[in-house]
Amino acid sequence: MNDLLEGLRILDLGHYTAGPYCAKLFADAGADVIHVERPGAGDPARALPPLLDDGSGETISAVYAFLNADKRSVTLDFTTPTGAAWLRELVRWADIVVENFAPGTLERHGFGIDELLGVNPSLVCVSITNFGLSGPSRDLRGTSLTLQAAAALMDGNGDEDREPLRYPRHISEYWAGSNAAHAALIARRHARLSGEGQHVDVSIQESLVAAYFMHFADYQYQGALQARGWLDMKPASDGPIIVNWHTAVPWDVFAIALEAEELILDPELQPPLSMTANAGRVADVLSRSMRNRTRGEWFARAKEHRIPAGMVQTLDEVADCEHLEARAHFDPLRLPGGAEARMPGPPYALSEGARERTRVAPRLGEHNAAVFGELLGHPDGELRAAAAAGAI
Amino acid sequence: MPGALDGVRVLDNGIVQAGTFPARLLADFGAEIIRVEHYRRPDLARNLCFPEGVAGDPYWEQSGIYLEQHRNKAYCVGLDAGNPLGRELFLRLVANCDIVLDSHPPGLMEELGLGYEDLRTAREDLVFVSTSGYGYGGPYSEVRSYGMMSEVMSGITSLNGYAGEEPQRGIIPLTDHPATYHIAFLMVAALERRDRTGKGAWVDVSQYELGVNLIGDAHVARAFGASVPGPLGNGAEDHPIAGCVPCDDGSRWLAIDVCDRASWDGLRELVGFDALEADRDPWVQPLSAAEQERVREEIEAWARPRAGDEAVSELQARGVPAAVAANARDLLLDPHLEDRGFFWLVDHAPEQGAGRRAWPGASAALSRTPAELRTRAPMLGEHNHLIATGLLGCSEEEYEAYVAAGAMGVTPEAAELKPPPAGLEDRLNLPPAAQMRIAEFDPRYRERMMERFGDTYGSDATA
Repeated sequence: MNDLLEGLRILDLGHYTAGPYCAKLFADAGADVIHVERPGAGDPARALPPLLDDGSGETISAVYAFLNADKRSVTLDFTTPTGAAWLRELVRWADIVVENFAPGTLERHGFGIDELLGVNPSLVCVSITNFGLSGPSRDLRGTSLTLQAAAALMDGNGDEDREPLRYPRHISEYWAGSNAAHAALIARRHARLSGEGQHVDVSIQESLVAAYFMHFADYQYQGALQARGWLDMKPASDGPIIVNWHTAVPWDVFAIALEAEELILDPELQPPLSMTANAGRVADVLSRSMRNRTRGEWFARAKEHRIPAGMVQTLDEVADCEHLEARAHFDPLRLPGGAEARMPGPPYALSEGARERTRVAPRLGEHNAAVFGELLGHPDGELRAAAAAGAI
Repeated sequence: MPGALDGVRVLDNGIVQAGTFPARLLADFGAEIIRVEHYRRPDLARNLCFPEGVAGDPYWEQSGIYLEQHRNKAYCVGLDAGNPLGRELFLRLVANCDIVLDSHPPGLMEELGLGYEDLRTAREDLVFVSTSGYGYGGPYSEVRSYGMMSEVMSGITSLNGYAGEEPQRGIIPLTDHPATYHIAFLMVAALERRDRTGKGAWVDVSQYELGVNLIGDAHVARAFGASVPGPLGNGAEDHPIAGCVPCDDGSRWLAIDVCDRASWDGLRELVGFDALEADRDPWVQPLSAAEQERVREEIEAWARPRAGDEAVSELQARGVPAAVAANARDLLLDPHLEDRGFFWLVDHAPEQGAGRRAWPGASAALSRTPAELRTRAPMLGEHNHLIATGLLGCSEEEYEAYVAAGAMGVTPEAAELKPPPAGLEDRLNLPPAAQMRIAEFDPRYRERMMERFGDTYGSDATA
């Protein structure tokens, strides 16, 4: 973590992925993040596949470890009287509350936005839900698959004549979580300067739609609806690569660098036809020449000639990438049972400030004593009583 | 109404997408954006999407994609940073801004004497946020890239595709669109740090690393020795049924996801699952491939004759996550998004050739300081005079000198960049290797938009 948001206090009531990813961006940036989990099983993300041996024979989810490193974990059941009272104390402590329960859940338990602002008038509460806190679709269920369908993301992924495809893993939830993070931080800045807290309503559907815009113009301007997929990968000898011509590079330079002289000789294979009607023929020419060298060789040529390029890498290749190594992208990650390996660090470098490298994924309730005892000032006896009552 | 970011001024030196869209996110919440464009070769996004596919005059003002992504940005200055006076102007602008956002390839702004250290001479506590495919520093730093390049590098693409098949890419560059929010977050975070410490900072975003984070859980799993499956199609490791089946007699796709017991029971109630024993628990005994196929056939037989919306209602009423796979038209007409006021109607200047159009609105709803539509996208160099003589305090003579030297301008010189007309017939017949390929043309699009957004939709500022 770094010091961008040192001193900022985040109460992460999130579970699974979208809420915890939002809070993770704050944890990466040095904020003090307390993750409230259910007593017993904890955040259900702890059980999401794939499961890892944490070093002591216990398992922990890779998803949970990635999303919650450097957060403090407490257990608290806010449907119990003590749990509700202590949650109110945590709300008073917090600058931002992050939650992704179904719409209305916190309200039903006495923690609607009015109650929260009553406890802490300068609080920002960000609620991440499938379709937002209003509107006819508000209470619909959703998953990565169905929300990507509802946001028209799948419309562009897959083969034309087969079922459309979702994008993999938890990308859409992380996408929404980062939307929530930027909106919450903007609201926090306002609260810091004015004292006025507020509610930030983030819809996963809208998060995906708002940043995926070009097809709205295309429909409004031409009635055009996009085709699925874009076959822009070319087969090098050891796997696929993408190289694109860019107007800043002369076409000849592009063709020679990729050993495809045919693209110079045949005027039909030059811009703009090369990008439109004859794109398929150009792709065929390039595919033939590119089989002759490895991705790495083509990538080096692209670098030399300033041609935009990227190699299609496997996870193993990413882990071994010399560039990420040089940028010290990966951070050490320690699991609760002591196992250590690496996790992706924040996707940016800072010119200023310290960066603590080793990241720690918390054991469930690991920080109960530190938070309820030291931070909130409850004596040991109260903690024992709360535990006995199932509140923590 | 006051915006949450009132008083924050951003110099937007970004291009195309990830590098400039974050400024719009901040603009929606009240930040004042001064967009700098290098007028001789302006933003590539100006070449992309035109009414009826034909670039009007001046073509560089008429791209729908440009108009959409720069709405709410207050000012645009056209300058030539390669010109000594243009460089001076750039630095004078920086001196008046809290944040500079840049997305030029690493090395390019330094060559012009406008790298971070140069900018700090104009403003010591500057927040400088750069974003690029590979970041500054490291052996790949100067490799040129677009979003799809950093996406494929990150490993995302290796997991995208039909189950058990070779990976493939979708249309969206996944390190562009999701990246925009993260970059906006970092702009505000570094500003908060400046207010706290009095110090500026350079935040150097690598979109490759951002892609790695978007599947960070997979990278963690691999690092700890767990196996990570390749492309899973629409499936998920712990969902017994997940995928799309045809509905509306095969004209649409319906996505259904059985993610827990409630949805399993709900789907069984509707469809029957004749292929399975009544008490079959797929979490105890996973479905075999043959069973999955037979269950899928049953679901398909149920869904195919049904209207998509009705099928979704029936499924959702029983707790089954389901949605019709939407396209851009569906979203523009979506009653839910309409109820939420998600689309904003934006009026444009005559030169922009757009009239009134519907662009996506705010990314989030803030209860006390909501995002607001303030202005259409600015035109290339539209505010050269205003910014020079206002914010920068130039005299008229000084302004004239900048213009005479070519340091400021409003007309691109690269006339050969004028995009060819992209007719519908052409676009319907493009090969799969081409960009901007379309699957379908809706001849009723104007009518539908006027029904949805009112008679003034499209009404023309060009008249």
